[in-house]
Amino acid sequence: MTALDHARKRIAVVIEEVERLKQSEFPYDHPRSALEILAVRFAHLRDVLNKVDPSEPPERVLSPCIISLEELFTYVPFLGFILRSTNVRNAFEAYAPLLRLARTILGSDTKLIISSEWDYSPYVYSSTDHLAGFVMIGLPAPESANPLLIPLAGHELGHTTWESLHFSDKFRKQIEALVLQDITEKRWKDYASLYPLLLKEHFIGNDILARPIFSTAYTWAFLQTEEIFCDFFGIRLFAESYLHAFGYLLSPGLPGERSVRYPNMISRVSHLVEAAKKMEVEVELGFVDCFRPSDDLSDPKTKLLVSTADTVSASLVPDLIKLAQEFADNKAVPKRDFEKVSEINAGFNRVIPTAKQHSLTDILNAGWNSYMMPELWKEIRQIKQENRDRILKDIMLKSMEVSEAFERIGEAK
Amino acid sequence: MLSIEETPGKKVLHVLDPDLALLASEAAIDIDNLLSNRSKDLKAMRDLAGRLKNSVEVSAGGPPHSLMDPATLTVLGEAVAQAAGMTYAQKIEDLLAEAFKISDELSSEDPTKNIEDLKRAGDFCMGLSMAVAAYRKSIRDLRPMHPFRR
Repeated sequence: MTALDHARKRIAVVIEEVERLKQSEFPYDHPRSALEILAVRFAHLRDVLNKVDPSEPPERVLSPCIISLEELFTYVPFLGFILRSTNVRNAFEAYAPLLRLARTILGSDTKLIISSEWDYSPYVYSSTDHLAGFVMIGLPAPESANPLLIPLAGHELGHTTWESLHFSDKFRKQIEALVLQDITEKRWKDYASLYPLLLKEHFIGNDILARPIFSTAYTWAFLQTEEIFCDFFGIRLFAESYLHAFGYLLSPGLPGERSVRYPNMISRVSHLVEAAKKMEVEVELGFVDCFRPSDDLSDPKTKLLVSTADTVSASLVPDLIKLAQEFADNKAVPKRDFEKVSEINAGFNRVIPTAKQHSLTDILNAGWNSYMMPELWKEIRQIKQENRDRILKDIMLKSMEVSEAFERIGEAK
Repeated sequence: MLSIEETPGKKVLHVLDPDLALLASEAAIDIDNLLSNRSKDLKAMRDLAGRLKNSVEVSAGGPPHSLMDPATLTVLGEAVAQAAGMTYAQKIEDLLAEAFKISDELSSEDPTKNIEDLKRAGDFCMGLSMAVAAYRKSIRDLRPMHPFRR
């Protein structure tokens, strides 16, 4: 057997698997539509491999095999994600209001898949060209039925928005200029000592020698900029509840060296606080103290490059706040309304879900307010304290269902 | 001042475009098949040529100008180096001029008119597919792996 034979067999097996997955019972249509599209993708991959002539020189034959293997690494996890969207652990009650929100932001053709992952981190699959129009949001499996964490979907919706609406194009030139400025002006001494063969002119004069260094700092600044925007988008969509959910899932941070694709945790939190102030979102006392700084990177070159990325992404914070706010406002995305949150809270405090139409953000903020009340339901003898959180989560989910029902009745009238 | 109008624009080369590695790989295979008279499928070549042309701004008299982000430009440099040999260019302008020539070859009415140029374009396509896939992997690897997962 040759590598080409293996590559062709692998694709055939995946195509069979997709056919099996299509037989699953999906609670809504969008996962099935995604499978249909992925089936076309894998069939194309099969056709490309079938065009390869095994008698070509080895590097010409092996190259498409490498690409096909990398494609499987990229796309097979989508299949698992789609399969897990059928699991009853997911909060299906949140599906309709989240889809409504996604469509308000991204357009009426938007499709949504909510699923879970056995990784302890919320995530989104970026909407690739062939899955254009899909928003795919996953929560860690043990928390996938927890409505208190739905605000984190705001960050993930931010990624899809950033990508679908080409927001990166707005910052590309700015990031390039800022990276160049940071390297050649602010930190030139450091760069010159770590890269003694390079001159300032290599960077300024577009010399190929300087590209790998420049593009690494640029890529990290670019990735950080997107992550910062997504945090701001989460705050704009879900206000205080986003900060609470963020603190619940991520505080105090992981041990070890920091990631280069996010700002250092303390900077990230400081950006969140800055955005919250601008958006008139209250930051809970002690929020900042919940986090500790991530460890610095030990490799001096990586450390220097990421410090450039940090400086550049931090300098874009005001623009990113403005973009998140203006874009959501233009799309008429509902803002958290303190009065309505109090109204819903009054019901929750009497163990009653909302009985009218409310926005998702108001329900989530009311849920968090109740969750953080130490005295909640202490006087209600029938509710044991160990059941308190579960009941509150059920009431939140029921409120989403009721609200959606009223929304649909309103639309039908 | 940032505007928030939604302008998707023309398709340019972008290293994180999920289609790019496969498209470039398919174009390389199609060139091999064209050179050996096995088939005359030009679709992938044409698509890639279009993206390349959209990525380089050429003005009369002036040097070519990149419309790509720096990471894509770096990856493009690797692919052009593979096609042209190691000592092809020091300046971005030279790299862009070379890429533009390759896009001409890929979109030529009769690509087999100059066999050597077509072979070079094939090397470029293969180099591009590999460089793009490697870059995509490097971004994926930024995500920390589970400590007990091997």
